[in-house]
Amino acid sequence: MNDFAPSENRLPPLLEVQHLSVSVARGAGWQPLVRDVGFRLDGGLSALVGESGSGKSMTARALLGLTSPGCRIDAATLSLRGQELRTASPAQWARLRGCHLGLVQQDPRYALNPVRSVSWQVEEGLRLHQRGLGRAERRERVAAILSAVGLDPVRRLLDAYPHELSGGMGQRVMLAASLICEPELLIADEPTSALDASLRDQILDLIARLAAERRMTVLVISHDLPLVARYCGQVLVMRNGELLETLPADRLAEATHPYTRMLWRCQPSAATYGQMLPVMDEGEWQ
Amino acid sequence: MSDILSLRNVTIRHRAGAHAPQAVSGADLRIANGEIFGLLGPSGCGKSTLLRVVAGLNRFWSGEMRLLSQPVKPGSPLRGVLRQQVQMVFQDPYASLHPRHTIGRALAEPLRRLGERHPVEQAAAALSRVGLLPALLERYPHQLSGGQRQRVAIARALLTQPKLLLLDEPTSALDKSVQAGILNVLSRLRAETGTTLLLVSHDADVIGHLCDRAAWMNEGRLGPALDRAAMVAALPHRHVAGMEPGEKT
Repeated sequence: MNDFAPSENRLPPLLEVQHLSVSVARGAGWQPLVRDVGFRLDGGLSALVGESGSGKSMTARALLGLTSPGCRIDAATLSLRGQELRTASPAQWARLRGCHLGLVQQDPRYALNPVRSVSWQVEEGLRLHQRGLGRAERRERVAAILSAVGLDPVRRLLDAYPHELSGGMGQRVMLAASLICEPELLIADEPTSALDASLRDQILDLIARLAAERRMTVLVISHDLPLVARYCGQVLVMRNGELLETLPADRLAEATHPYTRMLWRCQPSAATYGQMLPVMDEGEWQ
Repeated sequence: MSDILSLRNVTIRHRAGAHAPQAVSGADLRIANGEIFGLLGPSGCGKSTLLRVVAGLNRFWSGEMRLLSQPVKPGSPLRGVLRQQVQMVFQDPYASLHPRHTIGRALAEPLRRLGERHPVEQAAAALSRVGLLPALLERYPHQLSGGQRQRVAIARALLTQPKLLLLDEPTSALDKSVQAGILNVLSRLRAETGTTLLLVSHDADVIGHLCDRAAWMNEGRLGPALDRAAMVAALPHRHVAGMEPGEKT
């Protein structure tokens, strides 16, 4: 499905994370939300899965420098193509997010700016980070990226506001806006959970196809393990702020950790009719 | 078996007047006592609208409806025993629980109205039926997780021992692993009490897991009811590498 073999050239890995912790101040001390997480992303699609509150979104925000000011980030290594991110200044972060990192969020109804048109939002990255481009070139790039995400760049769409878009269209617009500057790493935080079941596959198919075409590394964050496992080569499982397991998606059926097994098998389907689904010990969430 | 719900040529609008757009047109449906019936369709197809008419929440409809063998007239609210025997669980449990009432208060209120002598004990029993501890009675909705809130919403709906439980996307706001717990609560409910469930969902996997029969809806039109075999054949299947869905753990 995808290869995450080491690249032939001697470039450092795209993203290297070692011993990453994110904490918030509580009383006199620090309460960790993410504890000692380490992984490496270099090509292909990877999935970061876990339940609500497992720390998966917080991990993604740390990778994007988007944790709120009260958070403390500790890491042995946090680097993008060898460039150290821990010491990046706000201006450097802005440049990184503009040019090298992309983010697709959960719900286009909230993530898109409600008072700006589609073309304004998709173009914004170019205006800010590729100053050399003229207006006509920018317009061409916007039309090209909208076509690439499966939207027809007609006037009616370019001038539309987010409330006029359906959920699936909004998600495609957000994807276009995050891809316009051709990031090397795209982080998709629950890109499909606000969408109908029939649209989920379409959006993930699209992300997988664009990743292959653009040689882009993608980290998909989701609570739906069986869904993302079909698209991803590598799966990272988080729980209670810790990385439980990292394993190749095709080995999920043999996962040994009971939590991973539960996430893998709690998917209902016509074949589970009349059966109880596996859940974690019912006492745990009391 | 007798029908618990039958609809004939039901057309639904969101407001009064013959010129208001039709959200659902000419729907025919019969649901037998004790079955789990699924309504499947994309966002905006009218499936929730249909459910709200059955729940008595939308009165702008025409056609014929019989609920528990009693005729219901268009424009009139549900009356008498129907108000207890038809209950609904909504998609977003946070929006459907009073934010400033404790769970105990929210659950005990309908019991008091019905003249129960020990509403608090009954509310605690209702929580344990959906796998929650009585200690939760003192909490407010914001102090619960999403899965706990949906369990409370189901417990509330079951307080009056309904014959027909209407479920509007009961798990679509929840994580997969939390969804599994809610689906287990519903499976257990059906096994223990034989309550009829009418489940609305856009998720074919949830319908396939739970329902005995189902019908598809699209753009306000309700398709024919399919029996289990025809329904399973019509469901889009997920294919997951290396796993048979439903493989025993």
